[in-house]
Formats: sequence, structure tokens, C-alpha cells
Amino acid sequence: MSEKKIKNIFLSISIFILIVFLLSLEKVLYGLKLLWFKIISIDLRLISFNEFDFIIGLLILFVFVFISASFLIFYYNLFRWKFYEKLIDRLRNFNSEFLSGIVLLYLLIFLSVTASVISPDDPSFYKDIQLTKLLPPFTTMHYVRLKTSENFSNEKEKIEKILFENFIDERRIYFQQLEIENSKIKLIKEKSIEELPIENVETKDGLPEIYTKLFFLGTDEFGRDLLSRIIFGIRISLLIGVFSVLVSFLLGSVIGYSAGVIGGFVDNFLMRVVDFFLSFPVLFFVIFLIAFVGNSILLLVFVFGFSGWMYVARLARNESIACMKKEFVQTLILAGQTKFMIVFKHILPNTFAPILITLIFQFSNVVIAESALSFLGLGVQPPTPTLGGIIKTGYDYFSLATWISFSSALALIIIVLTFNLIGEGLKKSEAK
Amino acid sequence: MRDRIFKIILKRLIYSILMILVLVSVVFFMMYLLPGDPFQQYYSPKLGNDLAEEIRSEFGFDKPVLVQFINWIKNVSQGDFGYSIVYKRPVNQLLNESILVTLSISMTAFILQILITIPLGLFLLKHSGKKIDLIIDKLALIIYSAPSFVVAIVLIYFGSIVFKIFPSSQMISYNFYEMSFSQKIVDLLHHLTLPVLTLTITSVSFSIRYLRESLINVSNEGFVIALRSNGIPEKVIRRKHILPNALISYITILGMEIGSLLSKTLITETVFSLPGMGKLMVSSIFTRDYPVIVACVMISGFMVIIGNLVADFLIARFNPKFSYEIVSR
Repeated sequence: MSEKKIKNIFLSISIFILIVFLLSLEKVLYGLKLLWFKIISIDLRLISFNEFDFIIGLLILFVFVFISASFLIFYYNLFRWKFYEKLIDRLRNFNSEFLSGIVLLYLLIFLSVTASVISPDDPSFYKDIQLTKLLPPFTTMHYVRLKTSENFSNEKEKIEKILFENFIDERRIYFQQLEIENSKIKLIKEKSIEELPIENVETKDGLPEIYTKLFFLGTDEFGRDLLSRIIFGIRISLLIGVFSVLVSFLLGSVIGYSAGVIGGFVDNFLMRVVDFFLSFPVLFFVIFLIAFVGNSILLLVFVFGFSGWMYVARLARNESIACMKKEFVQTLILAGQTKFMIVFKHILPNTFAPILITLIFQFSNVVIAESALSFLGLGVQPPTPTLGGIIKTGYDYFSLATWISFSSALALIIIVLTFNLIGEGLKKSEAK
Repeated sequence: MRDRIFKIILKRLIYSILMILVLVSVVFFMMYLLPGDPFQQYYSPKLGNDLAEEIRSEFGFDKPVLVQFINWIKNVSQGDFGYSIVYKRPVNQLLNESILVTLSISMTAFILQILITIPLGLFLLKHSGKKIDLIIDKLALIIYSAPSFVVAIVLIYFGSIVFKIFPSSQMISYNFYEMSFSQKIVDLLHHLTLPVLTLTITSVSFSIRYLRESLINVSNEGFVIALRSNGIPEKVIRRKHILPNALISYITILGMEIGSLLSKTLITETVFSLPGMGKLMVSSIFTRDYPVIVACVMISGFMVIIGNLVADFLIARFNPKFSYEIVSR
């Protein structure tokens, strides 16, 4: 790949990230204020999970924005930075598949880590289902907001309230048409008309202030913003993928390396165990366990991790047997190095590349299996957005709203494709 | 040669039977350890426990687990899988009906896959390095990245919503039983086209990449260059020398495919709501229909093991070098 091509790819990513940052600027500013109040009052122990997620996302968003902005500066030759020159020089050696995989992975990590900051809405928030359900992509809806009667005791509480309730906003009232009749407003919806005194809504110069909301990818059957749901779904998919691959790596490498290094009876026995698990109908077994035990993300992680360790174990065993025959390992054994240290310090780094490739393909298999389970209604349960679940609801409303299935399916394909591309690229460079 | 293959099969067969026995017993005992009771629906405050206990003893579930297990093995060795608790019918009947659907879809897709993949692989080898080769390779990667239900949904979109050619679900029309024989066959084909296409597309996109890779690998080897320098026409080299060598890795893939036929059709059956094995399995797990679950586990275990067996046999047939390795395993 030429230097210019790589530069252009990175330029478009940087611009994408900056645009996302600008779109979520309102939320970012509130988040910064909240962070400031948290720091000056030092009550970090009161942080809830949502806040923690938000703050971490915010900090990492700034890292991404910094990288993108500095790349823009570098691209237009305003500033020469050795780091980027080295990076691009190194990336030129990789093949195109690996490079495109890495680029997609970068974007996926960006989306999933900063999900709570950049998503336009809360993934499970819905209001006025009659009006907002099954909207096609790029629809705009208008709404007015009810006034709050609460008085905040301090500034921090207010910011918190605004930050976490602006986006899970119960005070929104969507409408199609608005009429004003002597100090009352009429909100005309599809089938009903709602009348409100004008003092109850937020006003600007005596007239009710009308907000506009753009649904980028439309809404699902409950009127929830589809884009936010997909972003959070990507996050769940990656989360389950990463941890289950970790589980299968730990289990597989422990069993595989010990079989390969100890050898003899242990090797024979462990490999029979591996053969036994390989002939298990995996998907069926997963469904069996989930139906009987009940489902949670933790269980899914363990089940998927448990269904993939055999490949890792077999590979680790074969590689370590081949590696044990090499001279440097023999020398180490003669020098009196313990077997544990040999495996940990010498064999593991030397045999890691093929195992890594298997793990990457394993990752895409896990993502597919997880989405298939959610599609069957057995995966992570409904209020949590998962890509398979979104595709399923889209399929239920397929004649009315094809975009639900298609947009989430596209996201799913991109995730799987990312890891397949990286795996293919690594495999190619390994073969060379 | 023949002796060695016989040895392989014998060794594998004994090993497989042991494996299935372990698999079934694990599932059998796990069902009793895990929560859930198929007879829960018969408990009622008005009736007391008598009805439920009566039905339980009718199905033989009041005995100790070990006795049940031994009874079950006795019955299965005579070809009887017992009675389904939910459907109140012999499990054999249920299996006969559903396995026919699953096998007819999956075997058709399997044969179609072989018929498409090998000519396509040869075509790609002929044009290797050209634009069409690269485009088909990338397209196969993208389709391979899509789960089968996504492929099914796309096919339904084009087949039954945009063009309105094929029905989107069910296996037979509502007036199926009033049709004449030829109409029945047309109706079945009409309904099963999309499911078969789904399975075919997903498996072709998976196997064509393997076949292409191994074809290219073989074509870079020394003997091909030697053949070429002897003036043997390219067409003959491709068909008679490269293809048989490349088929070895493809057959391994085919064996894996036979093993995973059931789990693959499971999702396709759900999307198209066909009354196959996969659907029976999932629904029986949810209703805790123990006899059906164990029977399904046994059959799916059989499928995996038969797949491996067939693959080993074929590999040993095509590549005698490899059969030593299988024997020593």
C-alpha cells in the first residue's frame, strides 16, 4: 500500500472522529462540568456505574480526539511529528487485509468505549411510542419540553440532573403540529390532541421552545433510537467476544502446553478429552446449558469460552512439541531451567503467533454464535441491546421496517469482517 | 491399503460408540441435576399431587435415575426412544418426521455446495490474479462474515418482498393435502428454495476460500512447474494434477460440514419456521421434554462422529500418506 493511501485512510478516520465529537459536544461539556465538580468535592466513592462509564468514555474520547486532531495537523504539514512518520512507515509493510482490519478495529474500539458519550440517546429510552415507533432513517421529530419545578440545592446536582436526564428525558412531548390558542398550546398527534397551559412548557420569548431531534437510523418498534442501540450492541458483542476468547485462551493454553511439555500419559489423556469435546454439538450444548441454568453475560462468556478452547489446546500442544525439539530449548533443559520457566519465557513467546490467529478467528465465531443465540431469543435478555436481538425485532416487523434488520446486520457483518480480515492478514504474513 | 482403512474404521467406530455413550450419559444425568420439571403443569392446588404423580409414574420418571438410565439404554438398543411427555407420542415418530425435513434441506444444500464449489474453484484458478478472482474472493469473505440468519433475511427481502417469487416461511401451502402428486412436489420445491439457497450460499462462501487457497498452494509446487515445462496443456494440469491434490483439504472441510449440518440448519429452520430437527430440539429443551432431548443429543452426536469418520475415510482414500497419521492417532 502506498503512503498516500494510508494517509488518506487515516485522514478520513480522523475527520469521522472529529465530526462525532462535534455532534456530541453538548453532552461532553456537561460531562466536563460534572467531572470538575466530582474532582473539587472529592466524592469519588459516590460514582455510580453509569457515571463511571460516562467519565471513562469521556476521557478516552479526548484521547481519540487528540490523536485525530494531531494527525490532521500532521497531514497538512503544519507540524512534523516523528511518531506518525514512523507509524506510517511501519504500516506500509503490512498487507492490505491486515491494514483494513486494523482500521475497522480502531473504529469499533472507538465506538464501543465511548458509547455512552457519543450515542445520541439512551439505548432503552422511549417516549410517545405511537408517534415515534418504526421511523425510517433520517427522520426529524419535533418536541416541546415540560418545565421542571424542582429547585436544585447546588450546581453539581443540577449538572448531574441535566446530564443524565437530558438524554433519558421524561419531559419530552413529541408532536406533529402545534397550535397556540390563548395561553394554551395544542399538541396535535396522530390520533389524539393534547392541551397544555403554556406556563408548563419551556418557553423562549413567550413562545414555546420547539426542539428538533434527528433519528439517524430511525427507531425500532418501541420508538427507541436505533443508532444508540446498535452502538451499545456492538459494545456487548465485543465484550462477550473478548472475555470468552480470554477464557478459551487460558483454558486451552494451560491444557495444551502441559500436554505438550509433560508428554506421555498426561498428553494422551488430555488429547482424548479434547477429542471428546470436539465431537460435542457445540451450539446445541450452549442452548441446553442456557435453557436450564438461565442466561447472563457472565454465563455466556464462560459457555462460549468453554466451547472454543479445544482448538487452542490442540494447537498449543502441537506447537510446543515441535518447539521442545529445538536446540535452544534442549540447551535450557540441560542448563537446569525448570519446565515452567521454559514454557513461560521461551515456548509461549515462540509459539504465540499461530495461537493468536486461531484466537482471532475464534473471536469472530463467538460474535456470530452470540448473535445467533440472541436471534433465537436465548442470548442476553431484551432490555439490553444486542445485535442479534435487534435483527430479530427487525425481522418481526420486516414488512413495515426493513432498515432495522439491515442496519444492525451491517454492523454485525462489519464486526465479524474486521476480525476475519485481521486473521487473514496475519495468516498471510505468517505464511511468508 | 484396504487393510489399513479397515483398521482405521474399526478403531474409530469403537471409539465413537464409547464417545456417544459418555455424551448421552452426561446429558442424561445433567438434566436431573439442573432445575426444571416437565410435570409442573399437572400440579394444581385443587387436584392435589395425585394427578402429577400418576402421570410421572406412567412415564417411568418416579424410579431412581440409575434405573431410568439402564431402562433407557435397554430400550434404545431395541430402537425405542420412549414417549414424548409434551406431544404424547412416540419419540421415534417425531424424529422420523423432523429428521426427514432437516436431511432433505441440508443434504440438498450439501450436494449443491460440492457441485458449485469445485467448478468455481477451477474457474478462479484459471483466472487467478485477475480482477474477477479478487472480487469473488472478497465477496466470499464478506458473505462468510455474515451469519446464516442475515443471509436468510437478505434472501427473504429479495425473494419474497421485492420480487414476491418465493414464500418467506412454512414448508407446505395450506391446501397441500388436496393437491395432486406433481403439484405437491412443485409446492415443496417452491417453499424449500430459499432455505436451501441460504445453506448453500453460506457453505459455499466458507469452502470456496479454502479450496482456492489450497489450489493456489498446489499450483506453486515443483511438480506443476515440471509438468508445465513438459508441455502438458494447462487444462489437463488443472483438472488432473492440481485439483486432486487440492481436494484433500477440501474433504476435511466437507467432513466438518457434515458434522455441523444440524446446528447450521437449526437457525435456518427457525427463520423459515420449518418443522425440522433443530426446531424440535430447541422447543423440547424449553418444555423439558427429557426423552426427546436425549434422543436429539444422541442423533446430533452421531452426525458429528459420522462426519469425522467419513472425512477420515475419504482422506485416507485420496492421500495414502495421511492414513498412517490417522491410524497412529
